[in-house]
Parts: sequence; C-alpha cells; structure tokens
Amino acid sequence: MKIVQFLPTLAFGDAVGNDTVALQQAMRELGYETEIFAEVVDQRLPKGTASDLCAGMPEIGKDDIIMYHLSTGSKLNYSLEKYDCRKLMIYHNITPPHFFDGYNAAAASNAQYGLDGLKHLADKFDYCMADSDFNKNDLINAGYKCPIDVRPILIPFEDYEKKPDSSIIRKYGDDGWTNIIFVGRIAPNKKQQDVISAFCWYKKNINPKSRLIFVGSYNGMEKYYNRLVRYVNALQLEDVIFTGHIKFPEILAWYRAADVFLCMSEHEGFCVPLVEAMYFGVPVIAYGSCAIPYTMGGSGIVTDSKDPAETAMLIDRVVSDESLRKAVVEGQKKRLEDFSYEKIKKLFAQQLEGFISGRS
Amino acid sequence: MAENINKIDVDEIMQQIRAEIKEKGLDSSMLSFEDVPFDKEVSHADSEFRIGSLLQSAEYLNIRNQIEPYKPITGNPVTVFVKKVIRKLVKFYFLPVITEQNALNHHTANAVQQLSSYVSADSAVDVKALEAKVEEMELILAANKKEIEALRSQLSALTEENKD
Repeated sequence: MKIVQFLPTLAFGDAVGNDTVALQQAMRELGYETEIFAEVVDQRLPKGTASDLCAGMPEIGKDDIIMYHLSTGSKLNYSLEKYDCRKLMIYHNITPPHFFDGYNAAAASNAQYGLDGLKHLADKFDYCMADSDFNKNDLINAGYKCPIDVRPILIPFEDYEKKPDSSIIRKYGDDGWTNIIFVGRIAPNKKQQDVISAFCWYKKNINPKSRLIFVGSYNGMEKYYNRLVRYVNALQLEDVIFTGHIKFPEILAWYRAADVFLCMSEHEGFCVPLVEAMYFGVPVIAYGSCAIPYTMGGSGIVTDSKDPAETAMLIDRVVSDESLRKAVVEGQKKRLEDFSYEKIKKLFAQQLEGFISGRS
Repeated sequence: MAENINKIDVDEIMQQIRAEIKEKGLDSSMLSFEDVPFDKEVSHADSEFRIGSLLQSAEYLNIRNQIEPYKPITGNPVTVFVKKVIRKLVKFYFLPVITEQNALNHHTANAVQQLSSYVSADSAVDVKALEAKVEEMELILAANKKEIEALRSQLSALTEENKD
C-alpha cells in the first residue's frame, strides 16, 4: 500500500506546501511508502521532494490511498475520481470569491472554480481531515457526508530556530519604538485596511513612536496593495512598512522585533502566522472571525470589535500593561503546546490508522 | 485542547475601554478605506492612453504617409530584368491602388495630427486647472491642520482643568 499526496501547487514556504512536506516526513517516519505529486513544484524545494504531473497522472493501485490537499480551483478536483482506490481529503479552505471583486478577476474566478470543485467532490471522498472546526463546517455545508476529523496543520517548529536577519533586528528590534506586525499575504480577505485604521488611531492619539509592518507578498494583489498605500497616504500616516516578499530569516527577524501581532482578517482556514506569533512570544490581538477563535483556542486577545479607537486602546493595554502582556504570552505558550510537532503527528497517525483500518 | 489556559477576560477589558472612550469623548471617526477609490482596470500598455505615444506616432505619420510605388530591384542581371518586366506588366493595377492608398494616408495623417494637437492643448489646460486645484486643496489642508492643532490645544487645556 502506498499513500500518494496530490495538490495543485507545492510551493516553498506556504502553509499548504509546508503541511504536505511535513506529512510526507511524518508518514515516512511512521513507515508508510509515500509520494507527492503536484501540477507545479516550486524549484526551491530539495530535489526529489515531489514529482510534477507534466508527464501525466501516475499509476495508482486499488490498495493505494490518495491524500488530496484542497485549497484552490484545479483540474485535479475533477481528475482524481477516476482512480478506483480509497481517497482522503485534507481541506485547507478556499477564500470566498467576493473578496477579490475589483482586485483580481482571475483570483475570483479561480476561487469560484475551487468552490465548484469542493461541491463536486462531496460524494467522492471516503474521509476528510480539516485544519480547523471552521473548515469542518465548510465541508458539512458543502454536502460532505463522510467522516470528518479536525487535525491542525503540522508545523515543523525547528525551522523557526534558524538565524534571523540581524540587520532588521539591529535597526528595528530595540530602538524604543513599538512594532505592530501582521504576517500574511496582502489580500482583501485579510483586511489589512482595518489594521491600518487601528494603527492610525494608535499612532496619532496614543503612541507616535510606533510603526506598522506588513510582512507578506502582494504578488497578484497589486490593486489591493495600491489601494492600501493610497489609504495610508490619505491618512498622512508615516512608519507603515510593506515588506513585500522577503526571505525566511527576515520574517523571523520581524517576529523577533514585534511587540504586538494584530490580525483583522475575515477569512482564514487556520492562520499559521497566529501560531508563529505564539512561538515567538508576541502577544496576539485578533478579530474573532472564521477559524481564528479555534486557532487561538482561548489564548491571546480575540475581539469582536473593528473600531479603530477600541482596537488602538487594546494595543495600548497589551503594550503598556506588563502583567496583561505576560498573561497573554503565557496563555499563548500553553496553546502552542497543542500544536507541537509530536502532538499533531500523533493525532495524524491515529486518524490515518483509523482510516486505513476502516474505523473512520 | 487548550483547556488549561487562563483566559483573559477580554469582555471586561473591552467594557473598560468603551467606558474610557465614552468618558473622554474620544472619537474614532476617520477617513474610511471605502473612500479610497479602486484602481482603474488594468489595461495592456498598448491600449492605455499615453500622450507621448500619440505624439510620436502622429509625427511618424506626418513624415511618412506616402508609399513609394517603385522600390529598387536587386539581384543578378537576369533576375532584375525579369522583375522589371513583371512590374511593367502589373503597373496598370498597382499604381491606381497606391495612389488611392496615398490619398487615404494623407488624410489619416492629417486627422491624427489634428487630434494630437487638440489633445495636447486640452491636456495643457487640464494640467493648469489641476495645478490650481491642488494649490487650493493644499491651502484648505493647511487651514484644517491649524484648526486641528488649535482644537487639540483646547482639548489638552480642558483635560488639564478637569484633572485639577
């Protein structure tokens, strides 16, 4: 028996790609024969990590298992059903198309294609793993009747122990300024504009010695990025940094220089950066939408407010109230234990073995 | 999962914050993101209007709008002779076509020239009008800034008074 992972794009450094590679390693450690196939394989990944599907779909036997990562629109949503074997889906969620309206018609159409594929596959999989209970509900709403279990993304935390970029830490790390960060693609569903308005209020009314850093690529979302920049300019707001796509050591450095992680996102299937902030001991203030309350698991500060003044004063509390800050960070450290590599690997192994043995 | 976390009472913190906002009369209204217009639809470089490109093409059309019917014939003497014979044989057909095309080119070039002169004059007026508008807006902005500063000072004074 072989377990074959499929996904449209195996990207270097993104959450789905990292999960796929981590699962491959975990399955090999558990003694399974496993392979990854993707339509596009990022060249930065070590050779032999995955095979691309340019040469055609691979041979898969009746006893093999397909493990499919669904997160976007792809031809794979319609081509895996031909295989007469057991199928397991790992659902990472699909951003609703309306978020992309006015910014990227191709992204909106791809998201719709993905949602159509999600519905199409509802009766074609035997078992699903969802990154969060939010994702599990999405599957149920899409008509999935097969067993569904929640299994958080497998994160190899040892990567975060790599050396951070020293120039960023030197320049921004300990200069007496308050660094508010958000890590994630510049994308309309992540509502970076709400982070900007809260920061604007904070900087102008509470703490002028503060800066806001958006760590993440805006590739494909240039229109949204341009609108954000124009918003920053119209507010006459200084010290807002858009890093664009940066190297991993630079991301690590921004986490190490951060005082608060502010997330106003309105659509996340899991949100790995929240867990990263927990890892780096950065207190998180997050708007409690979609999978965010699940990922935070009662830790951090999850708010139902998007009011700039309220959010700004919340930032101030976390920055200036040492005991609150300590309590938030401690809570996050406890929550982080739930995402430890060993714990999630064990949970994955139980769920996988249950599926293989027919218990799921 | 996460059952042993000492949860922060966020509701209580938010209540305190809301009370503070109310008590101090703080206002969170500011320019909304919705007030920032969307970018224009991205268009391909060739379909996007650029006045420089228009003037460049108009200039080219102005200089080279007439087609020369007789091109130099090259090759070995035999080839040149054969090609010249063929040209003489089809001259009755291509010369009127080229004359007609040249007339059309002349008028097209003239029309483009007229259009580019019109657009140039129009954009010059536009730029002047926009510069005047920007100047006016800057003045309004400066006035508003001063007013805000004054209001801030008044507010600080009032806050100090209340403390006393």
